[in-house]
Amino acid sequence: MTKVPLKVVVSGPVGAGKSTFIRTLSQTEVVDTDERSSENIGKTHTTVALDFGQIDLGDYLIHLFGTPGQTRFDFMWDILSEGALGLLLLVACDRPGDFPHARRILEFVTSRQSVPFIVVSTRNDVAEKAWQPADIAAYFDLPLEQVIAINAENVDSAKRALIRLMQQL
Amino acid sequence: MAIFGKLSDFSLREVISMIGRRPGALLLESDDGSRMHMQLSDAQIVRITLERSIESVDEAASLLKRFVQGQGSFHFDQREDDRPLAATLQLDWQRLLPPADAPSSPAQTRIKADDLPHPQTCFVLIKGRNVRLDPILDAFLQRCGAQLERGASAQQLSDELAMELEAVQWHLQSLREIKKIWPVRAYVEQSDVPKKKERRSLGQRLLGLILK
Ligand SMILES: Nc1nc2c(ncn2[C@@H]2O[C@H](COP(=O)(O)OP(=O)(O)O)[C@@H](O)[C@H]2O)c(=O)[nH]1
Ligand SMILES: [Mg+2]
Repeated sequence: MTKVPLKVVVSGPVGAGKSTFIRTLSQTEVVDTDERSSENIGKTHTTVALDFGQIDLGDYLIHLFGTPGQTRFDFMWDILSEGALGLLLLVACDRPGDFPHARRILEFVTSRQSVPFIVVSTRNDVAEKAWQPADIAAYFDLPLEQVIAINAENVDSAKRALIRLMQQL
Repeated sequence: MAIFGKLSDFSLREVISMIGRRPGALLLESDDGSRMHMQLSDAQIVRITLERSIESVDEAASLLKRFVQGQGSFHFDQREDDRPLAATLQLDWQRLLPPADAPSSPAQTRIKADDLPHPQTCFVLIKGRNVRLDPILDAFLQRCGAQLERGASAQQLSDELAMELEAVQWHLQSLREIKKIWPVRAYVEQSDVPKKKERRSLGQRLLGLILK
């Protein structure tokens, strides 16, 4: 029997943990599209195209698509979200300076696409000073159930983000 | 809880709206290192200190000005069980902050162009909310109130009003920060019941599989 493909879009600013998250959850080799960045974004490599990973759930095959965070790729945030099962918007809990950009992505996509979404706060295991989920929810104006704090490097923790999304469908 | 960041990323108005009625201590620190401590209780400022206690409204307002303009940083700690020091003030933010204004030129403002609403993000007007606006923003709202009541994007407004796109984006951002307009959530607002049901049951099936 062929598996039903489902698309989950992983979006967020540069450095939010998108590549990490997809690598952690994917059961297949992740297509790594990072390339040396010419922009000053605080790290030498960044996602310029798609991160892609898969999770096999028996009858269903979840495809995880990571979108590039930079504004010049904004057309992809929109195109990718079309027909998606859901959207995970990642933000690093210790990088509040990126929240406005994250909100811009979220509001652009969700005002145009009827896509369920949650905000996923990453780096909770390493942050010295972190925004808590309740405060992130206040910033994005979302109910607390729509925000979850995880460690993107840990499978069980990352999985909780998918579970939360499914609970929001 | 604690929230913190730079006032170039979050406007002071947004910080205040996030704090809401939570009691606690708000610290504003300007780039030159001076620190303004405020004690908040029930959406009121009950004490301001800046090396010394500030007891006049005018003085507090003038001190706040540069933070409104996006200079410096903020840190708020919620403190439920703190025994507050005796209140020396009883001020609501409305009295302290100037009315929300629209930037006359993007170069003068704190928001990075990349953080402005996307040209195609659709906004709606929150009719029931009364806010104090400066004349420029008020005039903008007069011009496009009807469109925003139905829902409109910066791109649409720019086309219809023959106004520069970037100027419209700045105005929308200012209105959004004070919650006079709101981004449409297509997901929530769509009323396709069968589709919602279908989605929910798929969610349940997936949950069963992933939790196995
Ligand atoms: N410990 C920890 N590190 C993280 C987490 N999320 C992201 N990182 C790290 O943060 C950096 C940026 O992550 P990356 O996946 O490249 O972000 P992207 O730009 O969104 O793809 C990398 O060094 C990651 O290892 C997390 O939840 N925990
Ligand atoms: Mg990446």
